Amino acid sequence: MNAEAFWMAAGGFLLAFQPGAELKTPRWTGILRRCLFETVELFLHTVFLTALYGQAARLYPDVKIGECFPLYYALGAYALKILRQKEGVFLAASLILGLSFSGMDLSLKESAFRAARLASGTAIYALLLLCAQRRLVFSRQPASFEGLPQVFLLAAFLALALHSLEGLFGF
Amino acid sequence: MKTVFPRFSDDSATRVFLACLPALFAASTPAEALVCGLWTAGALGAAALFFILTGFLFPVKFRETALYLWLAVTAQIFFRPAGLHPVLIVSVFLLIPRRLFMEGAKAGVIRQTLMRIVFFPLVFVLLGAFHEMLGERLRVWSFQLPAGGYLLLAAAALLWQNQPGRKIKRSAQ
Repeated sequence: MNAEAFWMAAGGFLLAFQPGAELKTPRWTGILRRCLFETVELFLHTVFLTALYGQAARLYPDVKIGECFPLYYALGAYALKILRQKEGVFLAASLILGLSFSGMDLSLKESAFRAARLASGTAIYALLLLCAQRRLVFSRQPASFEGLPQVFLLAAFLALALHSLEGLFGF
Repeated sequence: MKTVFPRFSDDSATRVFLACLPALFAASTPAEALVCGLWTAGALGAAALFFILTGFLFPVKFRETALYLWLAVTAQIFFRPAGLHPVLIVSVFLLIPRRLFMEGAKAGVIRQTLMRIVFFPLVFVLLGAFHEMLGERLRVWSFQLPAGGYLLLAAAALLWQNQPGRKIKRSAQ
């Protein structure tokens, strides 16, 4: 188990739970498509912003650009959110994944690999949790808070299941 | 019969539990959880106060962007000089009341914010303490994994759901 699993679990949970949308569960047909697009977008968000950051650090070695990484990443993520017209929950997941790079000194190649791992792990966790929610907890759209303990329990069992599968995705 | 916190809505409780999620993974000891909880609550209070007092000065379309710029600067403050993990900003983002910029909802927003400022550090420190005790001291392996955080949150949400006097809402069709 490594620290990346925590960020994947947090980001994946928010993507699956959709707090802004009052626990709406999408149709099955939309789940796979959404998961695929979210993986690609999260990956591109993270790689694009960390690559820009790496380039800036290389161009200005005397300035401690790494000290300003959270400000820089948050602004970049918001700009991409506006351009792509994404929801607040997607932004929150992107922030969780991107800000986990804070304080790290990684090359572009390492950043890209890490971002790919984080994005794919998050999307798969979100997909499995969505499927489990849809199948086991919500057969209809619930009122606020109803079903929250069950969804947390599902998330815990899912994390344990991934851990038992030889620590799949670092779980 | 009234609940323990009669003015604290289910929506606020959902937000508080969700806000604990990224923060719980960023803090590893109860002392760290206390510091993180207080900083997050302080950042929430500062953002709400600023936008309640000056929100009308911003053009309607620019308000969300202004709030986000504020949050980005807060993330930077969390990282340096506070030395905390900047992911705490996601907790602040989740805790901000949805009606912050709504006309005529100031009293409700202030009440909601104050309740969240009090309730969030309380819940977070308790969860952080249990997480540390079970995962680090008693070495229960599942609490050293992300699953442990979810198990604690499930227990807290279950307790909230079954508190005496709470009215059960019917699910929407």
